[in-house]
Amino acid sequence: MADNGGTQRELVFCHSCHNEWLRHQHGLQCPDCDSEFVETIDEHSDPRHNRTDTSDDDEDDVMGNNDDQLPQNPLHRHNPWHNPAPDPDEPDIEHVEWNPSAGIHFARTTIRHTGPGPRPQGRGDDLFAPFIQGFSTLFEGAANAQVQGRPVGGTPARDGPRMLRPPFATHPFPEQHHHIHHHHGGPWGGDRWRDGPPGVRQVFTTTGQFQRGPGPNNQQGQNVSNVLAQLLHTMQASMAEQRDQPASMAHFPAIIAQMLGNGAHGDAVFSDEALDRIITQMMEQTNTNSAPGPASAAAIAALPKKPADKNMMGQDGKAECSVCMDAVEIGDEVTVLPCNHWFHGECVGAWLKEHDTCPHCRQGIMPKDGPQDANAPRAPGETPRNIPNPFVRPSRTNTGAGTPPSPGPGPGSADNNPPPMPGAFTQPGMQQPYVPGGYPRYPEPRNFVSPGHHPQPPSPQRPQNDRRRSSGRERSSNGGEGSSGGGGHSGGVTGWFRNLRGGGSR
Amino acid sequence: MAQKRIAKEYSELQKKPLEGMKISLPSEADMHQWQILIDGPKGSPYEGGVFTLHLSLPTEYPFKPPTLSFKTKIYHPNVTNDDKGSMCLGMLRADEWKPSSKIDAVLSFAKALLLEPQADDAVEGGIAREYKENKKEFVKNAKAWTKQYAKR
Repeated sequence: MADNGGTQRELVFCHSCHNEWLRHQHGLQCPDCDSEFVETIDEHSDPRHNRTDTSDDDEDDVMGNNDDQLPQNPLHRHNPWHNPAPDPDEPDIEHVEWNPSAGIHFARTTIRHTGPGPRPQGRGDDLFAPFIQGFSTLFEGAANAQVQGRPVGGTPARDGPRMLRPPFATHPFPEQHHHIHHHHGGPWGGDRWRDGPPGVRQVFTTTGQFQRGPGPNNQQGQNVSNVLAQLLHTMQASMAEQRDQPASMAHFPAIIAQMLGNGAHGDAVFSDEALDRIITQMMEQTNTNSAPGPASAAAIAALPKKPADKNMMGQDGKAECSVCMDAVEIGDEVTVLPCNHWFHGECVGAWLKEHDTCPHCRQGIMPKDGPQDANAPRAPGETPRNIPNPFVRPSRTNTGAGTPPSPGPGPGSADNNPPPMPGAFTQPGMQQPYVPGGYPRYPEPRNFVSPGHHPQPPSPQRPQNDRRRSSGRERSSNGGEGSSGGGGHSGGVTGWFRNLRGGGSR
Repeated sequence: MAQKRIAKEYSELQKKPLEGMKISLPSEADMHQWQILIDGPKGSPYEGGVFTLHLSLPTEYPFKPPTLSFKTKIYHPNVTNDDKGSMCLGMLRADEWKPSSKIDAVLSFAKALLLEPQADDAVEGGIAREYKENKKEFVKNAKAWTKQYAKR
């Protein structure tokens, strides 16, 4: 044995079946699968760490950690604790892996020598403990947690392996799969070390996996990131208490933060501003997802079609479809929505099949009470399934730029928005059956919106709770309409401001 | 439909330009990309500066909203302070967009936002806070940026 002392402790790893063995026992061919696709393991190159878990083959499939096919974070193989002059007895191997689809994986192996002679203590797990605890507490229980510790060597360790056993409880995020896996215990069996050094050797491997749910579930991933960000705060605080820690450890949060920072909100961890940005981003994503769905094809097809008549025209007898902006002449066939706005059938159809909202006032055509794919549009008096979103803040919706302020249709809005054109309400046009969604063409200069083109009839058919924002919505509706008038622009911005100041104080 | 409507809106805006704005097409062949020069509105800290904006109209326009971004750096709560310069305009968000909204309304709104930032809808929280709590400092910074980045 003495003559091959240099190789007797060399471990060989099989890439085919992930087996490992001591080189002097089985040579360079896998004793299990006879593969020659093997690699000797040393402190510079440890192929096992490319895998999520060195000791549990079954889990690899679940975690889907496929290094070869997925883009990797530049820090993929970054080892912040790499020691340029390694102590062979104490190679703390830290490995953090970032994988865009599978989540974040970290693995850490500590070999601690508790044999004769003083050894530095408190370097590894003490620092890691709050981290693990933090995760566990935050997620309150990832599935499949295991904690195993096993000292390797002849005699039991004096202080034994540290058991990091966090409290595990019910899974708080049902759609996500957080997987925390603590694995203590070496991959080496004790007997393999019968020629090993005197004293007690402990090998700890700590691995953790934070896995996103299946599919392109970015938002959920971001939730994880946010939770991690919080955690890092905690962690940094606890690490600051560790006086004699190696300097490089202090970078750990930064490294993690960097890894999480793949998205636009990446650097977002420690400042309020960044938090704002994350929240904004998430809100926007949420709102995007909440855009109204389509109307049923049958209902679209069943919308009434009429030849345009002179009631549909603007004051100067002209009008256009507000979707394509083409002129509509008297006699042209138009499609009328339950909200009384009309458009070219083709134009409005193209919109409705994506979003069940009037292109003009955003009331839907589908009835609120009825099957999802009702094959007829709602009756004009019936409540639409989609009403203009009451949660949108008026300041964002106010698109009335370039438009002279117009009175809202209801008393609520008229109160805080004194109508500059009092005639608007009283004109019979308000009650006309058809309200063109199109742009009436006004003679210039135009001072007010023609009542005949008020985008919405007054509110009996609108739910009460929608009234609060009706003036904002009205103005926004008119914004599109009025802006086509051209003449309205000269005072456009001021008009907008009058509007904003007058009615926008909510 | 997109081409036709965009062309229409473009020619309308050429005929009747919005005050303080110059609209052009960086490439005549591509109607979907507009360049807009906005003068900093009088009375705002951006006065004296000229800001380049980029308006991108999707092929699905008007069924999908355009996007508007500042190419000139600007100190403003509603414009991201990054290389994108995205402007936070509610009406351009997918769930608020409606086909009857027109480009001139979008641009007018953008300009109005220069005059009166909407700190409650900010994308730059720090600037928004300053705008609300220390207007003087905000104006000073905005003016300095205008001078530095938006010179005529």
